[in-house]
Amino acid sequence: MLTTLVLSAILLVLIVLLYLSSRKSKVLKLFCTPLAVCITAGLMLIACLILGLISQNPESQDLLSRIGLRSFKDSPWFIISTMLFLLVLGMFIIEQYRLNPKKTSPHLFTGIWVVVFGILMSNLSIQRYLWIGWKDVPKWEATLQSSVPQSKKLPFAIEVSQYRTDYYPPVIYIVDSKTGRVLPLEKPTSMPIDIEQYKEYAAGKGPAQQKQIQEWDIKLVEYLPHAWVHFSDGQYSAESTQDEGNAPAAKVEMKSELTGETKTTWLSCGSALQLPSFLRLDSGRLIGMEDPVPSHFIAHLNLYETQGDTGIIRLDSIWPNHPIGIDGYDIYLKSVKTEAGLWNPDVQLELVKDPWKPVVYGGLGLILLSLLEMLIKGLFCKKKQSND
Amino acid sequence: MGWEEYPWFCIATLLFWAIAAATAFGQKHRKATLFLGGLGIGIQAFFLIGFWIHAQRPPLASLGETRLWYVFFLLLLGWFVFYAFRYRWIPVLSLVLALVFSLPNLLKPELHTQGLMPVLQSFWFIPHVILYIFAYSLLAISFLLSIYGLSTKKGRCRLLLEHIDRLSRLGTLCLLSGICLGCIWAKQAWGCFWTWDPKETWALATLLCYGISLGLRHCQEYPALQQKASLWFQILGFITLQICWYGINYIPAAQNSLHVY
Repeated sequence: MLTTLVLSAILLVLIVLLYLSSRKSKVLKLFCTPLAVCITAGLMLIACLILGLISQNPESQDLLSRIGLRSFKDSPWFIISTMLFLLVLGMFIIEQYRLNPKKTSPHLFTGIWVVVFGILMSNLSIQRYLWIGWKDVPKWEATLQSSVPQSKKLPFAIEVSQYRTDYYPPVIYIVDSKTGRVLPLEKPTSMPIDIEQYKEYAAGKGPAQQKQIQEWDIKLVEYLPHAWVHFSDGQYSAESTQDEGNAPAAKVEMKSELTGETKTTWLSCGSALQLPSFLRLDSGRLIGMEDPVPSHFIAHLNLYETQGDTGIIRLDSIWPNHPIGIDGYDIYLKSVKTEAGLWNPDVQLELVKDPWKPVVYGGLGLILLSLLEMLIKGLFCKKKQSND
Repeated sequence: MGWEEYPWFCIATLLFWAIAAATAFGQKHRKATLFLGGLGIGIQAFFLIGFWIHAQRPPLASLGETRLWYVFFLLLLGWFVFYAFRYRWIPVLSLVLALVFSLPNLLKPELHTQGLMPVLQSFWFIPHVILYIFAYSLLAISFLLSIYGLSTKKGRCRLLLEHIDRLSRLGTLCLLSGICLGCIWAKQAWGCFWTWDPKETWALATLLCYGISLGLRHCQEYPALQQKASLWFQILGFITLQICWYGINYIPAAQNSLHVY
């Protein structure tokens, strides 16, 4: 944090000093013009094109890596071009405030400057910690994610009291058994299980869900959201269970329009603890169930803090796009491991400490407010013009 | 209403626009052009609303779905530019672009039925993507005008440059707002405002191209930069925009991007 503060002070002083000198020097005066901003923005554009076209992998040993293009973000060229852009834009902004103090554009440029600078400083000083824990076990440590990961003691303890992942209804499809591509290739079709329709069908109040994929007319006759599928005597059977590793299973009846052949089977996507169940239709095709797609995940937390000799417990919940803040840290729920199927053995959280967060938010707010002001001014001017 | 019905709506939209574009060249058919074009836009809008209700989520989750919005905004802006500035060739060029971006959805349908992944279930999702797609459409029209401006000397008249300025200024500001909302969303989702993900990098490159183009328009002392170079940056901006939108799916450097879909 201290380094970034010193850096920002140096840059700000440099901008003001150069701007004051530009009043006397013709060369420096050029730095305050739109052309200078365009030239430095052009340098930034070249940097972006390099970053966008060349994959950033410093460990690679090829020619691009040797000349520094695979770790371009850390190269002096990138830092110089960004700093030059900030320097020139800063001088241009001061000049604009002097020439057009009542216009909106200087506020907009100030917002852009603050955001670019804030993000740069934020990326330099941000600290990310990985917290891996088990349900109902409080933990005071997290691992600082850096080139040399280190375990750090936190000023609070985190306990996950509950963790839940919801999934979208499973999808049944026919795939090419060699390529795994969904059939028919010219118009891939699937059959997402309609839970509401199945409930009505199971209660005897409605028809079963049916769908035609290629020549097969598929009918859903039974659905178990949490099941274990067994294979014995050449066929599948399923039982409902809440045991770890359970997976959704669907019993389907199929009839071929071409041959009149009928088939009945259980289909399941499986999980980390059980194999998927599918049915081979012929040498090139099989019918199966897609891996479950998470629709929502949530963790309920107990946060323990010490206050003198006593402790306090705070209850809170986190889910994607909804982090919580405590003692300068933001706690995020890391993405769920879908490869583990419906079975998630541990919970992973990420703790982020970003001292430059308020600065960037301030800059973003300034940009959005300036844009709003421009829009209102534009509408007002148009109205005034039309009235005239 | 879903992808199965899409071809009918798409064909109807494009058909009305084809007739509208043809009538635009006639001296006395201005009202017919506006009416038929409006009808085509209405059909596309009707499909988008129907899709939204049917899917129970905003249709913005896949590349194919963003193309639907792009075609809608493209036609809407083409209609507006024809109405306001009376460029007769704008309806036909909007139609060609709309056709180009409708064809992948018609000829190579994907499985578009998946629900929204958890990270996309955010307040910022709709304004972020809509602002981007609206900006893309505005900048597409400004690209067409820039090509016209570069192809004829007469085309670089003050009025045309003013129209390009207006469209690209609004497009750039929408792009900037989209990026700002994206930064706020990224902070909420991943804890970082900016990660130099390839999509972010190309979005910044696009913004810089348009920023430079607009900046050069203020360089009165250098007329060549103010006119020709500014228009060339519009063209470059449109190319980087295409890479940012769907081109990154084909760039090897972007294969680990969080935004490749």
